[in-house]
Amino acid sequence: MMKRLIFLMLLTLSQLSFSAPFETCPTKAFLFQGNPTTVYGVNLVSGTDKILQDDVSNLSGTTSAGNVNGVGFDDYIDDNGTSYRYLYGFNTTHRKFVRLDSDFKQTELVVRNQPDGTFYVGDVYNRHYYFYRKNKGLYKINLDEAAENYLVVQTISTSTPRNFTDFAFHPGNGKLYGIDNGTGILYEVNTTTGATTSLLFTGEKGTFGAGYFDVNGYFYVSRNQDGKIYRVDLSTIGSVGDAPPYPAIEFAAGPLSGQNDGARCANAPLIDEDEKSNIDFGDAPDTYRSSLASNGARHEIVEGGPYLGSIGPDGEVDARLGILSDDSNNDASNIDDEDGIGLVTGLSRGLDNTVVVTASQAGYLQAWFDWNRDGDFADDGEQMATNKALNAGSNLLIVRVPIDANIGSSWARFRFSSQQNISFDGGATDGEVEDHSIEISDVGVSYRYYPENGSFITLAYEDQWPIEGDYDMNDVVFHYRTVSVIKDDQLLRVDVHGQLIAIGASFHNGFGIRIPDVQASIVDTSKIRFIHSTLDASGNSSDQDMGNPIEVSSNELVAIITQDTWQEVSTECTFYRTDPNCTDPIQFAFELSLPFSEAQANSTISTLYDPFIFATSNRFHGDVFSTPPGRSWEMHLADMKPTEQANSSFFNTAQDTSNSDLNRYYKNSNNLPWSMEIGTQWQHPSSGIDLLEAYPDFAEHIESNKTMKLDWYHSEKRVNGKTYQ
Amino acid sequence: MKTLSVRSAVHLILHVCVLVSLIACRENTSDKAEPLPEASKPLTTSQLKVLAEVKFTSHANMELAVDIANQGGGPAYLSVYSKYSQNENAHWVINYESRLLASYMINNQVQQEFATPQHLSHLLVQVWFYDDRAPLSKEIRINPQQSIVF
Repeated sequence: MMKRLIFLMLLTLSQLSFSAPFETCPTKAFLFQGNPTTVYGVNLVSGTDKILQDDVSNLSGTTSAGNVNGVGFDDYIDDNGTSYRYLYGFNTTHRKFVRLDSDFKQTELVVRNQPDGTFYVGDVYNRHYYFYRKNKGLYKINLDEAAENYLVVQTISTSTPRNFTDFAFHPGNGKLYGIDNGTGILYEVNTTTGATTSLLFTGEKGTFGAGYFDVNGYFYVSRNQDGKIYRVDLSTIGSVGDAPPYPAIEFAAGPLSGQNDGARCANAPLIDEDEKSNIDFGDAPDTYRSSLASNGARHEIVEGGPYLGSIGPDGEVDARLGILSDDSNNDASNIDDEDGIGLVTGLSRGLDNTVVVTASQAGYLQAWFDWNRDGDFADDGEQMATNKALNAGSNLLIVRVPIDANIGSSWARFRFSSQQNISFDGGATDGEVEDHSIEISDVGVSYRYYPENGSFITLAYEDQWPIEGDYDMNDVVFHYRTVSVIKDDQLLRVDVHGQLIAIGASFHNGFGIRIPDVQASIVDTSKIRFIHSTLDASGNSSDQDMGNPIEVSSNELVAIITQDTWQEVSTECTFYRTDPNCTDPIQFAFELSLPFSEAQANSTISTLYDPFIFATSNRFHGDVFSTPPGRSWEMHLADMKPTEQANSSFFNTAQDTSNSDLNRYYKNSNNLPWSMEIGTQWQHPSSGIDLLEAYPDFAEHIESNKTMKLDWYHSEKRVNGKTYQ
Repeated sequence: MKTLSVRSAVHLILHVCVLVSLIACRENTSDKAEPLPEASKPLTTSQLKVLAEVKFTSHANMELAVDIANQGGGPAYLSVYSKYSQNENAHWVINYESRLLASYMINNQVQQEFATPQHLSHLLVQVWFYDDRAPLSKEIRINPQQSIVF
């Protein structure tokens, strides 16, 4: 008796698990192929697939599973939170309607008024299963068990001339779309009348056996003949200014099959933001096609798969552009995996330059260089490696820079995979994409980077000058890098990159850079590059061309990066990134390039040039000033002279002991400064924590005249809990 | 600028301590940097006394001269890196984003002045040719003036 009871319980549990609905709205697309049907999960981002079920089980009363086709996903949960998420389709072998559970096991649905024949096209919307056959009809079945016409077939139209092999519902507008195989025309199907409206030629023909939508309104179709997945952008269809045609853009390479059908929970994004992503994206500006919305270059990260360099790629939900890119993101958690490319001879026009490419294993390399600096890799002659076979370890790629290449900063993209013929955009099933900022130059040019081309030093300011501050050195903190472009011992150009790391003060300060002994009029303003990269409250980054930053009221060259650092960030904390218990991401970065119309004397070449803060106009800057001092209040690194705009009457007041005759500026009687350069990406002290409390070695370092404890600022030298990170 | 009252109180106490310690050490105060007795070591940055000529920067300049005249001539390209290692095959593994200097080499030699962060002690100098010759590499110690002949 007991054995029988246990058997019945196990049987019941077994049936329950087999008939369980899907718990979530999955991101993967489902591809149904063959007879008996095999179900694949397809990652539409990369095109990779894996078998989810190769036995959908025999239908009751039959001895075979048969072919399941015309499948659609019902993303329905009732008001009590009970899931009714099932797949619905038509078994073309046994000519029966079926429901598939989360284990992809089929169960017959006994319907009334079933039309003759077999059906290969279907999808689910609003609790109805719609199915279709050319010149036969468009029908629907109510899937609501409480409805009077539950599982009753309703005929919508018998006039159905379009040659669809799949169609899908747009989750945004609820309309039905399909591509006619013979003409490649995209049609919108009226689900009340069955009438179709042409949305013109998509540019592609073939048997599009599987169609899917994502939650953003992109329509994906998989072509049986070659497995290619195309994407049709219907994300803004129906909005003002949006009009056909809607081209089908090659998106990824998926599995091919003579018999295909697809279904997907259309309410899911392509990549689940709640799970660790296994997709690697490029991070060049989006004009180079980097983001998912731009069909950007991306690779699925496969265990044991190929990659560039020694660090495997990190998974991303979408391309990390601008301030978020590996090149510029200095948040401690960021992993810079762009380590596989070495431009060891630079990129000099007219020469055969060498690029060292480090591969983790054998594979194929594609490489593009934006020689004309027009923001894309699509021009003739810009693909410099096509299916180049690489071995594990170091490989050499010889790149001849066109003699007419446009001199200056540009981008290169390297894609490495076991796949061949990958474009500069679109998905790949394995490998890595690395985007690199490059410099195209003439023969004879040299570059001096400080501290180096891939990292920053730190500028830390106290902003109460001429009143002594509290030496937590975080009132304004920037990461900072300079590039001096030199030819024949003369300065051709100065580039500066920076990020606003902290604001630990309520005063409002701007940030500027003086290029000592260079006149403002000498800058070639037609070639200035000045970009602000910002991060909004939703975590989205954007770049903005800020035009000309040169201060017109100064004869000497002064570039104003921002008039007010507080305007560049938003925070709910008292200050910005100075309280370890109230954190923010880095929200503001800049990139400045100042090319000169005439080469400047060697003596103008500098390591830091002269970065300084100044008071924002009409903002209170301490009781010591009767009125807001504005631009006339400046604070530079110690012993750097002020600009023409500084008010000299502020010197030698309060604790300041400046003396212009001695070239002594911004120091107190103990020779202590109000600002410092620290030779690394420094972990600054928390708000109110004295520098010595956070970095005790600083005392010995500075009192030994900088002969001892040269590494006092390294993160391992800090006192735990005394710094922001 | 801060308005935290707790911190102000701490500062007041510290200033009193400073005053006491300065009185105790008056004879030792000067512009010369001398090690302070253990009991008088500064507790806060404001207590530090440093030489007037001290720069509150963290870099030093370096002049590097590289000569490759013995290597057969031809155009070449010089790079200086700060992050690198040597693998078991004595092959240099370089972090190419640690480049401090990149210079086209004219007439088989180059002389450049550049800055290095003060915590660095060594650099890797590498020269590539625009033909199939193997690159030249040499690790150097950072000095104000450094000459290399390959």
